[in-house]
Amino acid sequence: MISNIDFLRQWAGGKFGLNIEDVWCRDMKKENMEAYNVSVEQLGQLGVYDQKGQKTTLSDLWASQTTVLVFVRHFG
Amino acid sequence: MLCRQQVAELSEYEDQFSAKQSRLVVIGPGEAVHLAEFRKVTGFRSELFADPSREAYRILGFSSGISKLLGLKPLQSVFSAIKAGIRPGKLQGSALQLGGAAVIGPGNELRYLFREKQAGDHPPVAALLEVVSDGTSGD
Repeated sequence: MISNIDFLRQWAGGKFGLNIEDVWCRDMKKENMEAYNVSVEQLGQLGVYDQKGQKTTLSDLWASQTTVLVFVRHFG
Repeated sequence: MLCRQQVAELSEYEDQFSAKQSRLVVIGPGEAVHLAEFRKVTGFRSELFADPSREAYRILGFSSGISKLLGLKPLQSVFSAIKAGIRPGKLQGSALQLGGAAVIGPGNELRYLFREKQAGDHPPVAALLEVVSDGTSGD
């Protein structure tokens, strides 16, 4: 079984000798960082809830540590 | 279903994020009461939160709309998830909401932002690891 990204990786590597993630991801990072204006301060004031219903302020998550936040579409 | 597959795959990299002294957090738009079941089916061990108001999604500019769910890529992703043994659960959250990823910190520094353009267009783990690697002196 092969996933979509594995297929793309193999196709790009075999056809053009490209590391698709290097090209795609770095471009996307650069594009997003330059083009979008996001207020991290405003975001950090929001509260999210753990499975016990306890509220955590988002800025507490990244105050002292690099934090990777992955936002899923839904829990289903 | 695609979200379950996404987080189940992400869980395989949890140790790598920890090794880079970074914190890995998954946030979803449903209610907190659904987190325990989501954790169980995905095997995700790191922090899991709910944003029922979807306010964080709005601030980060994550799209929402029926057109984002249609097309070849979402369909391919669904077949890929089924092949991987992922079965759909009862939908918790908004079916029309797209997600993404952000890497922030330490402090209020936004270091990376990925906005899904379609359902199944997940943030590449390799890119996330690369960003957190940039912030560690040892790697």
